Amino acid sequence: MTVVEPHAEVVAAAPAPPPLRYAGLATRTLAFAVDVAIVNIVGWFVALVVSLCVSFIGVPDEVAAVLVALGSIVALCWSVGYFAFFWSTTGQTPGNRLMAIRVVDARTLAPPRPGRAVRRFFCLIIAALPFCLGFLWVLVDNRRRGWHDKLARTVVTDVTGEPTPIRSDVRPRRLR
Amino acid sequence: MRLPSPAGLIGDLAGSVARTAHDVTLGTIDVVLASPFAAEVVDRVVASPLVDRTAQRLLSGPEVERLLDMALRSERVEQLLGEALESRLVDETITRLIEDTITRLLASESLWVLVDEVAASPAITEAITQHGVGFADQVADEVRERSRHADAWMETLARRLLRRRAARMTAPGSP
Repeated sequence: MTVVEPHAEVVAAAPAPPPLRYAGLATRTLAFAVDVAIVNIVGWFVALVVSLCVSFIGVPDEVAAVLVALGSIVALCWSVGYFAFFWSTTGQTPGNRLMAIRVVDARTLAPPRPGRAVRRFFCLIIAALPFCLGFLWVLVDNRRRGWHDKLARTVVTDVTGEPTPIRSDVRPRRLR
Repeated sequence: MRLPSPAGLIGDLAGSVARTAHDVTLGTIDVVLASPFAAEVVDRVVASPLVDRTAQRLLSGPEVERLLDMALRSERVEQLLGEALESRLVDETITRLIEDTITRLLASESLWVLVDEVAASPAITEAITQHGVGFADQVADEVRERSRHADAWMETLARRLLRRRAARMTAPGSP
């Protein structure tokens, strides 16, 4: 007589998780190009509007220099904020979403925390400094990681056909 | 000189009488038809329920169907219809009819109101949006596929240059 365990079919029918695939250099470069285009278009548009307003008002050269310095800082914050926000919330910037890739923590496979996302952005600059050698490292790494991925402990996965998760481990701030 | 026989005389006489009667009858009919009396008779007959009843009888009876069936099966009718349809007059009439219809439609304000209503309807806008999104998805899919091929190609090239073994591109433990 054959004994069938009651939950055997349920266990057997559970879908296996899809294999984790890492995104390659060409895909990541395209996604980054889309993001850079978005950041620059928005940045230049805002700069144009502000410049027009300032030209109508007419400010001294010293004030204009201060405004340029402030604008540069705002532009840097905008760039950092753009990438850090998308990486730390869904792991996908608009460019990443277009190319169906996602930045995740190398250990937990969840979107990186904001601090780590900011660190990853500045590590991008480090990776670009030696003639983009840090980016080309993706071609030879086993997990397709560049220097910025290694320094920020992230990986970029290929999520073709998968839904986009949103961080569930971030607790809402309690109001006093 | 031979005298005509009695039978011949009777035949001639009967023929003359028949011709005279024919002429008199036709003359009488002409006179009657030309008179106001005939017009009055026709008016009264047409106004009477008899005409309605006759028309109703004809339409409800099988005679009309039979006649129509005969006409449709007739080769002559088919030939006439073919000739009529192929005639230049029919072509010109249809062309003019279509042109007139289009001109009047374009000139009518109600048509443009209808077009506006259709263009603004949610079903149409949704269909257009879905079509656009579908096209964008197709383009994005194509770009993704090509970029994956480029990834593999670039890595193969890099490995050849550096003489490295093929890298694992999936996570350890995953199938």
